[in-house]
Amino acid sequence: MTLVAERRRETAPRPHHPLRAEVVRGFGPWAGAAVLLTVVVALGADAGQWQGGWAETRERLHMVAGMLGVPLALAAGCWHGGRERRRRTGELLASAARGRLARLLVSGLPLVLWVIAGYAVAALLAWLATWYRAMGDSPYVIAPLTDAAVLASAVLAGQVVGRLVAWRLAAPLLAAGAYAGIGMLTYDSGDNSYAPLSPVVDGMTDSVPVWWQPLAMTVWAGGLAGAAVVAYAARRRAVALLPLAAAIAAGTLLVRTGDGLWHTDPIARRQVCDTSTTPQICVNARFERLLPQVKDALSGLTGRLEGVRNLPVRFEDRPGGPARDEVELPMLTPIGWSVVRGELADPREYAWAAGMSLYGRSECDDPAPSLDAVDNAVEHYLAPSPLEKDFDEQLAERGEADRARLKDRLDARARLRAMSEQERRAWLSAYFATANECDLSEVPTL
Amino acid sequence: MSTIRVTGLHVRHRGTVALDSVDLDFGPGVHGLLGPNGAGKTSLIRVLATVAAPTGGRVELLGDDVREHRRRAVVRRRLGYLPQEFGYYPGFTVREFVAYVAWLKEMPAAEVPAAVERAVARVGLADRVDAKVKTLSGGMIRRVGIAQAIVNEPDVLLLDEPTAGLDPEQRVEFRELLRELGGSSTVVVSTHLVEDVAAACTEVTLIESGRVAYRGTPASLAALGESAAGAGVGDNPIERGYTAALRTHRASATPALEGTAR
Repeated sequence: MTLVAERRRETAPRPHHPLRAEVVRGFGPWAGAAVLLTVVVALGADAGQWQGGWAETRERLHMVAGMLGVPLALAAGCWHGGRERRRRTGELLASAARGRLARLLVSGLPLVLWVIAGYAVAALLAWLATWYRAMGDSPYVIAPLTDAAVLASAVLAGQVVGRLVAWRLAAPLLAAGAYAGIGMLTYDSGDNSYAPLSPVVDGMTDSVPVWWQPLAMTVWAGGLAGAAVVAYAARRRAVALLPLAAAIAAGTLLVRTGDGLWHTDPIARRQVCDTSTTPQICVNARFERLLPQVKDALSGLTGRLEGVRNLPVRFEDRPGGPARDEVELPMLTPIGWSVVRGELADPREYAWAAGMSLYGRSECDDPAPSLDAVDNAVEHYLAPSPLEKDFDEQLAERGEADRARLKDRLDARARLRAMSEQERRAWLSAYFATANECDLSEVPTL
Repeated sequence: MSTIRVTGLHVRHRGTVALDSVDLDFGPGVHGLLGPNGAGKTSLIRVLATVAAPTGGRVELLGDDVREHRRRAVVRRRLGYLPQEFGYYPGFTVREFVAYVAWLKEMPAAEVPAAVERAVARVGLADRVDAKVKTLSGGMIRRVGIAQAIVNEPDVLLLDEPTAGLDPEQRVEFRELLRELGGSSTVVVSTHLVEDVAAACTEVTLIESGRVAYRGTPASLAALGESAAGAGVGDNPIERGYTAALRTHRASATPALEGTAR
């Protein structure tokens, strides 16, 4: 032990704020890694249902951050809040000139930083995954920023709980309670007027929140956490009423507004079209880059319809129903069914579905049996179902009536195929003029 | 001149009286607090460290009444405290931990790096300044505790069992450090080890059952041991003086036995 005071070094090292030590040592990096891992695993488990769609990515990130990230952040904050008790530093800290609030923030903010960093990296990875397969649209930045603010609030609130509750199980129980509470708040099937207070609730993927919703959600979550922190750590505890009042005001605004918090995304109201085909093909602007694939998938269908009259003007893809001279493009959403990771999963099936939308008689109560053969012949000619052969085999193996039905279908297909190009165009023009008729007499014979 | 003045101090701890009507004052120098387990030494140190509030009486530190928040904060900047149960962050390096305490004491940021190096060097850990605390031995961790207590070169230094865990050589060196610190500061050391008191303290206060049983110098305590033949037991005069003073206090109807020599 050297007992004589050492002379000052010529060049003293640069002073480091204790925040630096708190950032690089201890629990923070682990908490950040846990958040990163949790979010990445949860997103990766069903990547096919969001990758490629920016709104879908936003929605899934938001859901994972709220349902899993918030409980994890609360638990991390709670565990870290109990550090002084576990390390028995409370006695030393109690003699410090620094106030309790400064001490709590220096201890808690690095954890906030790590948790947000973990979420930010996960969000960037998700964005990267979507960017690689993006079909249009652009990243939604505000939602992850709101999620980050909510996560930060959860860490600080957990920190206060951890300092107050001297129980090792406090952290996991807090996480479990938060998970159940958020789940009930979000998905309760009863009167759910309080759902807008949930950090999970979001609109549909073609919706965006009103501009002030992220702000209100941040004030709601941040106000509650701020009130807890101030009530615990500030010398003038009554000041906690200020953030609490802000939280209550924001929460009231969210609840009162309810469904009005979301409106259709302007980009989702637009569509982009290829007008070189018959019918024209339009896809929602959110999936602009999918248009060439859709056009390719429908090229057989549209090629065979060249010169045919009485067709809808276009396949449309906007929220709401089609106009009178339009038909709805087969659904591209939800992602994960017909579109997976920016690719049409089964172009043949998609083309068949598009064809079916042209000659559906779904509103007929009891269409005449002979119409079945005519419709089937058109279906076979334009865009047959990938399962057509299976259906035919099933009919062949069933009773007499089904075998007769199959024979009618095969005969009709042969007759349509045997027509000359010009003759077929004329017949199809007549057919599509009656595509929605339920009366056999209106439909041209085949 | 007294830097610590305690008047009519009354402290209750877990439902029992820990200190009862204690009047004490300490000036610059090294003051040993002796007494059996549960006598109230730690309670007194905690009150002086402004960690525990007294239930009665008045405590003045460095001329300020520490009941008032702002004055307490001012005093705390000039305090050094090593609790009996020293807690630390194992993942921090020695430098980081001592710097953290310097921040807690609101030291000017520009002065902290040099102050940390100085404090760490004074406890003989200069070569381990960038080692994580969890890699240190128990004795070294105790020295980290002393380093954090002296990083702000405190005017009042309160050490509760500082030599626990130190080996004999380290204790000898620590006593020398105490003497050096006592040259300019008021150092109050609570200990069970009377040899530490004999070697390093300028004054000794013996506490028994929450009351002051004896005040004097180590020399006067040793003299008491020499003179009170048969009244005290021990291997050396100061131990005999310690036991004699305790027994006299216990036998006495009066709460405190004042030393004859100050």
